[in-house]
Amino acid sequence: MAEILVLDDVFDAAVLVGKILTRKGHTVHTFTEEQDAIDFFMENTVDLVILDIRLKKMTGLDVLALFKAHSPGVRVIMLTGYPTEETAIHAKSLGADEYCVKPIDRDELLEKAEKVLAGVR
Amino acid sequence: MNGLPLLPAIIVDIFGSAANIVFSFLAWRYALLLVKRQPDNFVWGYLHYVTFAIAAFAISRAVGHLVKQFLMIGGRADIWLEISPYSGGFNTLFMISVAAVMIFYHKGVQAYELLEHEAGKLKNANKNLAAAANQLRDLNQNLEHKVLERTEELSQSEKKFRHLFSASKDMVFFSDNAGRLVDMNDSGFEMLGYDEGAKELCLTDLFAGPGQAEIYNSMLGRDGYIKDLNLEFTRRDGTAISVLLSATAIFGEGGEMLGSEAIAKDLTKVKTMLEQLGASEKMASVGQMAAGVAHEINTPLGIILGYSQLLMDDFPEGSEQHESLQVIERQTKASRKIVADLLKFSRQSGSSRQLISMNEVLADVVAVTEHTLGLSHINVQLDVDRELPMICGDPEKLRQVFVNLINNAHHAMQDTGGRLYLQSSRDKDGRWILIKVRDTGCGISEGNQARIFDPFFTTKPVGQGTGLGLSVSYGIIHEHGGRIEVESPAPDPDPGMAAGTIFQITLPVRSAQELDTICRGDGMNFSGADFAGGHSG
Repeated sequence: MAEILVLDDVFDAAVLVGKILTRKGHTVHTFTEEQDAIDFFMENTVDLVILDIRLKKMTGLDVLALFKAHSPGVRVIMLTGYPTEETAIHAKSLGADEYCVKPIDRDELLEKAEKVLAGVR
Repeated sequence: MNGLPLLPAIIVDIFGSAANIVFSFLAWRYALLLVKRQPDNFVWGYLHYVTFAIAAFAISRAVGHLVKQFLMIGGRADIWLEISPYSGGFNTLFMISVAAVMIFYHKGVQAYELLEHEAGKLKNANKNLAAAANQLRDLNQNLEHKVLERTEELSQSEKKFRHLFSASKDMVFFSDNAGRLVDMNDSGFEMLGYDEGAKELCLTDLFAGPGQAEIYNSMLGRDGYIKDLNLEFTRRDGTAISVLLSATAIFGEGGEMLGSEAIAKDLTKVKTMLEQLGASEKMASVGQMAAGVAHEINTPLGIILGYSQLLMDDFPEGSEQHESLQVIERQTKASRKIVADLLKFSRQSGSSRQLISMNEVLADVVAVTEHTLGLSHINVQLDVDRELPMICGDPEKLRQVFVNLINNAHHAMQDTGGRLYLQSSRDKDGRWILIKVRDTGCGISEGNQARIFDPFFTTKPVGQGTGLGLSVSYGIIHEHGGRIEVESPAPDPDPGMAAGTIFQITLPVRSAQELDTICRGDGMNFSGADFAGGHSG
């Protein structure tokens, strides 16, 4: 099972994603503060990151760039309530594996997560 | 007398007398030559008379002396005594002649001088006269030149203003005091729909509203001008056009009003433009608001949906709790659909652009809807332009537009049945493609036509439509750089059929280069819950 980091500025949303994935046996670390998530990511091994694009101080794209710079192999799913062509293209160019639009369905989330994680191994 | 020898004296007298004659004649001849040489010379003429008189005197005196001497010598002193008084008389006569001529000189010179003086005056006068004549001629020539110049200037100016009048795209007219339009330019006639000069028009023919001609006249009479008055003119066919009128009164020398000159600008296009602008602004602001609300609702909706799905796992299927949670899930999903529609309308949801054939899109939509339409006795006719150029667009979204339009057409004809025409064509420059969706349904009232693109506007019964279909379609077509227009009742209806409604969609055909830039997102492998339309990989 995988180590998954979830960063979303809305606590309930982060916890929800966490609960869904935990039930499938993954270890999930949920964060609402960018800096906490970055600190954790730098010190631990993470297989998959699920990133919201609208955060409190930074954007999910900034965080994505940081993570990819630190460990290029990490898998990333972008999850946003504000999908635009620009952010989609930008995320893709930064190395994101998926770009999903909120509100995401439980089954779809699981499916995407499995698909992306399968790419790792 | 005899005592003195008289011979020398006699000889001298004889020769002297002869010499006297010779010299006097020589002088006369000389004077004659001078006169011949210069006939106009007064002095020579005078000299001629003097020498002539002297010559005559010389003959008279010298011949007298010679006769006397010869008679004396011949001893005929008695004869001499007899004729000597005659000789003396002649002498005196000729002497007087000479004296007379001498006196005449003085008077003659005076006369000559007077004459000269008069001639001089005359000459001067003539000179002055000639100068005056010259001046007059110059003046005349100058005047002629000036007149030519002025005429030319006038003609230029006339040409300029005539051109301004005739070439103006706005109506320009002159009216007399009785309100007759004495002159109007072609644009004016065109604006009113008359053939040029077809009819003698009056101000009262022009103004649509009753009493407006009087208001026009009274305003001009009071202020002398009218500036930017917004009113309506009646066209020949009775329709009204909105114009912006500016006019100036023409006053006579006594201050009485002779008429007016006016310029009117057709505002129909401006009004339409402003209305369209207003509509698209409204769309944009409603779209922004809707998008803002939708995004805010999206997050809690997602959380509600997620937690209800999580909870469902905790209860066995068939239990009351599980069923309740299913209702929550279903309703949340319904809300999510509305939010997604709103987002589509606001054009902020993702999109995928690729080269597509609108003919294929139409065929797809017809294939999907034909069966349902058939159940309502609606006959579908698809008429496509085989040469229709490809366009760049999102096929899923465009399909959605036509599904929406066909659904509306279906709704308009569901009780009566009818025909549905779908037609594709392109404009003559090949820069736009046109798609017409025409039904023979009940049509859209004029009042509703202005509102059909408004979000949440619907004429369907509650629960049958969200009122978002057309606004979403509007958003999609705009996003594709196109236009969507409605016309109801549609022109030229089929015999025996209701006029119905035409929706015309215009989409731009892009150049290959533009297509490259726009369609670069084509290969994206991204998708999302509401993003299926954009998912093309």
